[in-house]
Amino acid sequence: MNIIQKIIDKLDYVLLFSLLMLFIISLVSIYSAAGQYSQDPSYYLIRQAIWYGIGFFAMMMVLVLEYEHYRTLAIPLYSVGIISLLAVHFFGKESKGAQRWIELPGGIELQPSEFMKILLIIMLATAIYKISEKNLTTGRRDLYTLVSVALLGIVPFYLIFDQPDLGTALVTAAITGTVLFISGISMNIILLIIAGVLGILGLLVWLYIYQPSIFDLFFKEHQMERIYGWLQPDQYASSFGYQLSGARMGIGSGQLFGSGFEQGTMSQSGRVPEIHTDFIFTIIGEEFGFIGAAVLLIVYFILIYRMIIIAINCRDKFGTCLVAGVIGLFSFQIFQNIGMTIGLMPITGITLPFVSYGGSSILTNMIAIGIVLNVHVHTKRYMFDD
Amino acid sequence: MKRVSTVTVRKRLVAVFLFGLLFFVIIDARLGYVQFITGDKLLEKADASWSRDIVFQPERGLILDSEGEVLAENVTAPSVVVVPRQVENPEQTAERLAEILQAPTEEVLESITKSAMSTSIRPEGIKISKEQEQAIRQLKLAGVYLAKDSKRHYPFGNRLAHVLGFTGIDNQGLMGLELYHEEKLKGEKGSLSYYSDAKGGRLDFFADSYTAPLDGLDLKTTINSKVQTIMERELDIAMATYQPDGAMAIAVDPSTGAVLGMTSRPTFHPEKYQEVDQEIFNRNLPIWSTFEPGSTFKIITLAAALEEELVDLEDDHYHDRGSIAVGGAKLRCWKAGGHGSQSYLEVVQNSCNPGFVNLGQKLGTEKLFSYIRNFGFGTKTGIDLQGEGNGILFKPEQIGPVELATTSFGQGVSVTPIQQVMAVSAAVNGGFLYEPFIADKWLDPKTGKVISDQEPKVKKRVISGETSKQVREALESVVAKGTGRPAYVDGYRVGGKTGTAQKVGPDGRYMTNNHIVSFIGFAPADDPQIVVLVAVDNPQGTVQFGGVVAAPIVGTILEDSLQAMDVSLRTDGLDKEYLWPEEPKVEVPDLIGMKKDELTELLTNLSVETSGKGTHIIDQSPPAGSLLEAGETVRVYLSDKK
Repeated sequence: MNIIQKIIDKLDYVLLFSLLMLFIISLVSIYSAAGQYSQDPSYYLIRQAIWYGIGFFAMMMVLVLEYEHYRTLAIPLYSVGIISLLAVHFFGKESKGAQRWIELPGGIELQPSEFMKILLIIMLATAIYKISEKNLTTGRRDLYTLVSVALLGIVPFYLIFDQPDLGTALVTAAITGTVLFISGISMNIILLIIAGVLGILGLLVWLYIYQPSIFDLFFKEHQMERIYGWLQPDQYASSFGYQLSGARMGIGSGQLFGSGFEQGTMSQSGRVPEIHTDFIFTIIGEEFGFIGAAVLLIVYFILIYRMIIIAINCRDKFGTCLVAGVIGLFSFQIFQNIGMTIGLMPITGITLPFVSYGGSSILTNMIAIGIVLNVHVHTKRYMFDD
Repeated sequence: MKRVSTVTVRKRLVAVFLFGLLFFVIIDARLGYVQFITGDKLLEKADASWSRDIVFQPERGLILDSEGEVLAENVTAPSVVVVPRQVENPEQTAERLAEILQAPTEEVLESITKSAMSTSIRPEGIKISKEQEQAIRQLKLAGVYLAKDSKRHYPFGNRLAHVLGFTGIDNQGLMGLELYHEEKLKGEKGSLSYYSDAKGGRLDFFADSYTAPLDGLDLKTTINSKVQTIMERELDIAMATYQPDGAMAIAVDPSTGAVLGMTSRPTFHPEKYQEVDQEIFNRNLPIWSTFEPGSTFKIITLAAALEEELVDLEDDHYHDRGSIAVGGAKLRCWKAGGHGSQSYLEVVQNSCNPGFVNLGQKLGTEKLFSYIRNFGFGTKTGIDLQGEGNGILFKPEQIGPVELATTSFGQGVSVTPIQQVMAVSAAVNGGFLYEPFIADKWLDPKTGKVISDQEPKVKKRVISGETSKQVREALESVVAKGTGRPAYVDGYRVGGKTGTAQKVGPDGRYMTNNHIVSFIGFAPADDPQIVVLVAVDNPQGTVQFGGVVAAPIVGTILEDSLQAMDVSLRTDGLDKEYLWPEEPKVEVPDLIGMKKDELTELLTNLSVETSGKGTHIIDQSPPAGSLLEAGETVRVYLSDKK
């Protein structure tokens, strides 16, 4: 009773309020989007609400165990995550050209790459904490941190990239990058990494333009099609730019106020595939206009802002890194998902956190919020430090 | 843990926060761009992509001649429409349709299995024939329908083809009047719009809207189909007689600029334009081609000299020695030895080159070229057809004494046939340069009421009425007494001028034995009703001279057209031959050993037929010294050797 009372007292209610807002936005959007996919317009609505319920329960469960104990669970959990990714690799169910799901007895389908994001955050934070606890010179500490973070990050990145699921792989990269940045590693190393990434990107562009035969060894045609579809959606409107040009047409026609609930021309006519999942932002942009989209963005902004505050208040490196990982996870996913619907980013199959329809996604995001709240609740406040 | 590192971590968290803020700003900026800047365009596109229209096609406007005769109309020709979801046996259906439509089976199968509400089979299934229509009706294939559609029909076939042009598979104008007046002819599509989802299902919560189609306007042209038919007939005869590379004819009403007829060879059938080379239907020779006008251009020099009162046709005389020295060059008259002493009227009748050089010199460069420009040369006439040429004049800085001299008799300039016709019209109609036009009236297709009426457009007045009268009389005498005599028509007072233009070959030099021969004529000389230009490109089996080939064609066209136009016969015209009593018989000269080119001297009084090929004359019939009636034929035999 005591623990629960303490948790309830110390919960971050601003953060929870923004979750409530996202819950409402999600249900409204899914109801409007899913009509075209089933006879019963509330089919997806009900399922999403149930998943929210399950997710909320999971979030509370996460809160019960004080986050410092995660450190002992980190290695076994990370191992389970890697093993299940391997299981997907060898026994996974193929759907839409990618192997992302494993089917559990009872017909439940799970997407291990979703949960891997959380497990990776915990593992990275644990590794950084452990290294910082050792009595090392700054140089050695940075080296150990860099090597272990790189190794821990690259394994899931590769396994997910290979499914292929470029979007989620990039999310793990974003998480790894954010955690590494927050770990306090020397700025020189960070600049070196940034330079390295830019160098590789530059090299790829150079290869594409001047040495296409070498470039083709690394990238398949269908991967390039996404890039073409992104850069020239109208030209490829009937093929691989179809989804994007449809989405952009819808969002663009929303203008300031939107066309109204269930009145979106592109959204309602079924010309944007996956509109209830990855392309849910189309509904918001088209039916609720710039104002609706801005409200959503503000809610997201509050969410991220609260997490930053929690991270700053946390005195403990482990907690800070955990929260930083979650910040990296959400920021990147939000930017990437909205960015792709309005042509800022190439299309990748990742969800819009808390809004897109999907059980694995909701559950993962709720657990992530649970971790952040856990850090918040269990942060020790010092009398003379604030 | 160390304080320092906590500060670092905090700083970095703030950096992460600022990064996140940057992301939000970027997204907002981009979103604003998509929704506000491109929004209107995208909204339109979005609407168009989800509203399904049943299109109601408008009737394309008719094209009529000046009397109301139909030149272009619409006939119903159904198109095949397939609803893929209703097709029961796609393979069998495709096979049957392919057989009837003569289309590849695989393509038909692909079209009829598309995931679309309805598809058509392009182009074979669009606007099908009566036989195909019947065959498809009898098969009663499930999911195959015949939709009402119409196609363009041209009752006159390949007559007037270049002027009318043709339409494409969607009845859109592609050439000629059909293209130039596309906007008025095509009308507006009507539609019944209903909104649908991606699968073609109907969305009921948006209202349907119906817009009635608006038929295109009927176009009444200035074309007189009787005149046109006469011209077509005469060109057909000329093509058969001379096997030339090409031929063309234009007839206009000089008092308005209305085009009465226009035709060229080679021609094509507008409903089967795909069967000929692009060059044939793209090039409407009477307005597109440019060539040296030759002697017909002398009319302009004559009109200018008369307007400036530099010469009196009756009283002033010019002595032609056969050539004239200009700026160190020697310009020859077409008649070896020259015409001797002649009045300027005779200079015109004889088409004497040195005489015209003399007129050009009297005018001077500035005046002559100013008249040439005023008569409309060097600029498009503005006729309502696409693809008109400009022609080429010497640039002012290029003009020396030689250029002035050659321009005076029509060499070194390049003009279009329509420019010549309009300039000569101005010279004979009292001095008014008109803009030529074909679209005369636009009619409401239902009521037949005139919606708009084209007024003749005078561009400028180039010479006085008195000068124009003198030009008419001079040109009438060319036909009655000079090089244009084959164009003489009893009772219609024909005036006109021959032209023999040298063609420039691919090497940039004049070609030998390859001329465009032309004649431009008008009648009646007291009140011209019609101006006709005929040009024949490289006629075979004859001497290439305008008076021989083109003048008689123009004579026939004028005679028949004036009768068709109910123009009354004149009695006060100049008589042919009456003034030539001293030359009842012509002595045949010795031609053996002469070059073929030199034969042109004979042509004022005898005609020539050639046999064989080559440049030199090796034999003749009848022999030298025989007496023949003027106009009778001398046959000469050609060879390359002497």
